[in-house]
Amino acid sequence: MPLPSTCPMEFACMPEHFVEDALELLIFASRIPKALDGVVLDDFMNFIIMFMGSPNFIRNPYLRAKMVEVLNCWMPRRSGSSSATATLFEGHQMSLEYLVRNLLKLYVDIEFTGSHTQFYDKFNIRHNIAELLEYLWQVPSHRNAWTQIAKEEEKGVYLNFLNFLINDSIYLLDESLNKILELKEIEAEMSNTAEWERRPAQERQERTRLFHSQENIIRIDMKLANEDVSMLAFTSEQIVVPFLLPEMVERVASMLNYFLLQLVGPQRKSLTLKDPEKYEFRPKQLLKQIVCIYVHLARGDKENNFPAAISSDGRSYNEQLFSAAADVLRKIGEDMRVIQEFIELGAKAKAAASQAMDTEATLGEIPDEFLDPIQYTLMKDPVILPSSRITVDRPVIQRHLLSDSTDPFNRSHLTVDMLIPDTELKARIGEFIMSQELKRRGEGLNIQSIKDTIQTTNGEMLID
Amino acid sequence: MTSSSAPSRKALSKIACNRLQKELVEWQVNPPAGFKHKVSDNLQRWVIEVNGAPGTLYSNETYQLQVDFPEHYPMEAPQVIFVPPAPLHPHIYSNGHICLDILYDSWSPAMTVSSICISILSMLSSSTVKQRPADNDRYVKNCRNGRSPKETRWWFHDDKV
Repeated sequence: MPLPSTCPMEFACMPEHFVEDALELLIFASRIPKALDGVVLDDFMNFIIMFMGSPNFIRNPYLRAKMVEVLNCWMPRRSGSSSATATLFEGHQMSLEYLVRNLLKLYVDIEFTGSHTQFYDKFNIRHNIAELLEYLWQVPSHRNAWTQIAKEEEKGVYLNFLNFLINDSIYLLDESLNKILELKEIEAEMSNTAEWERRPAQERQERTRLFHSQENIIRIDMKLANEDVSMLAFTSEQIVVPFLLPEMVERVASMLNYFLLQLVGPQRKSLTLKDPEKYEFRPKQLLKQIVCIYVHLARGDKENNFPAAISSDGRSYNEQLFSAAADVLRKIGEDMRVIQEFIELGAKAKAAASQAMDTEATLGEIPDEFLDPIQYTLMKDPVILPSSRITVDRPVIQRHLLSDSTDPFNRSHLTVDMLIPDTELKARIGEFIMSQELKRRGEGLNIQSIKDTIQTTNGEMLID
Repeated sequence: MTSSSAPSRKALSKIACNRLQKELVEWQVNPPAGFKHKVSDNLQRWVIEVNGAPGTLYSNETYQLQVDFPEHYPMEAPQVIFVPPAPLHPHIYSNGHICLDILYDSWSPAMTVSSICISILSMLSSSTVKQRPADNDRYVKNCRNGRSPKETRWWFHDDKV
C-alpha cells in the first residue's frame, strides 16, 4: 500500500478524535439530502480506504469501523437514482485497487476488538461491511479485484474471512431458528386464553415482554443470517478453491448439512410461522441458496473431496435429506439443472459414505503413532510442529491455526509455513494402508477360493 | 431450561465423539489420581468426583465436577464447573464457576479432561486459605439467569494459587 509500513511518530501523536470528529461530520452531512452536492469527496475516500485496513496507523477498530459507516452512506442504492457518489466507488483508482481488500481485512480484524462486547459488536460492523461488499460484487471491476484477492490470499486473509463468515452464518441462523421454537412456545401459552387469563398479571406482562424481545432478536439475527448465507452463495459461484481446502471443506459441508436438516428434515414443521416475512424468515429462499452453495462447490471440486466431506459429518448428514430437498425444490420451481446436479451430488456423497465404511473396516486397529494426537483419526498428511516436535495431521493443525497462531502443545508462536512435513511417517502410513488392504483382499480371495472348491466338489458330485 | 448451565443443544460432531470415546478408554486404563468418572451413557456430559489431596486444606473432602462438551470439542473448550456445593477457594465461586485460564482463553486442543482435572486439583492443593473470591456475590447474582462461565470475561490476575 502507499502507506509506509511503520507509522511516523508525528501521526501517532495526533489524538483519535481528529479522525473521529471528521467521520462524524461526514456521516451527519451525508444524511442531509444534497448537503454534499458539489463537494469533492475524493480525498476523504482516499483517506478512508488507506486507513481502514491499517491497524498500525489507527489502532482502534471501532474508529476504522466508523469509516465503513461513512462509505455506507455514500453507497449508491439500488433504487437507481444516479448517485454522484457512484464514481467514488466505481471510477476511483485507489478504490478499485484497495477497497475490497481492506474491507475483507477489516471484516477479519473486527473479530477481536478487545472490548467485552466484541462478540456482539462484530455483527453490526460486519453488517455494514457486508452491505458494501454485496454492492461491490455487482460492479465488474471490483468483482475482478475480489476474485484476484481470493486467489492471492487463498490461504491468508481470504481464508480467515471465509472462516468468520461461516462461523457467523452458523451462529446466527442457529440462534434465530432456536428462538423461533421458543417464540412458538410462548405463542401457544398465550393462545390458550383460559389458562393465560388465570395467570398473575405480572407474569403475563413478563412473558409478553419476553415475546417481543424474542421477536426483535429473531428479526435481527435472521436478517444478518440471510445476508451471510447469500454472500456465501454468490461468492461461491466464482470463488470455490478456499471452500474446498482440507482445513475448510469439512466445516463447510457440516454447516450445509446442518442447515439442510433444519429446513427439510423431519422437524421442519416446527419452524412454521403464521407470518414468517415479519421475521424475514424465508425458508424457500434459504433452501435455494444453500442448495446453490452445494452445487457451486460440487462444480469446482476438481479433486472430488466434497462428497466425502458431506457424508463424513456424522451428525446432520443422511441421504434422505438430499431427496427431500430435491422434492421441495421441484415444488417451489428451482431450475431443473440445479436440482439434477444436486441429486447427483447426493448420490456421490452416498457412495463416498459406503466407501468410507469399507476403508474403516479394512484398516481395523490403527497403531497409535499413526493417529493424530488431537482428533485421534488416521493422519493423511502428518506434519511436525517445529517447537514441540509433536506430529499432527495437517488439516487438523491448520484449522486450529485459523483462529489461534500458537502451537497447541506449548503455546509457542506457530504459522502454517513453519510446519515440517513428516515424510517418513507419511510413507509408513501409506504402507500400513496398503498392507491392510492387501490382507483384506487376501482374505476375500481365500473365501472366494473356498467357495470355488465347494462348488467344484458339488459339481463333481453331480457328475457322479 | 432451568439448569444453571444450559449445555449446548447441538450434538457432538463426529470428531468430538471419536475423541471423547478415546479419552474415556484412556481414562479407564489410567485415571488421574484422586478422580472418579461417574458412569453414565451421556458422552456429552461427564460428572467427575474429586477427592481433595491428602495433606491439603481439602483432604477428606469430595466434590463433583460437571464437564459439558461443545459440538466442536476439542477445538473449543469444554465447560467445567463444580456442582454446588463447590469447594471454598479464592478462585471458585459459590455457583461452581471456576476462574482458571485453561478453561477459557488459554484452552488448547492438546489438553484433555484428564489434564484439566490435574490442573484443578493442583489449584485446590496450592490454596492456603478457604474463602470465596472477593466479588463472589456480585458475580453469582449476575449469573442467575443461567449464564455459562464461558460467557464471562475472566481476568486471570493471580498466578500463585
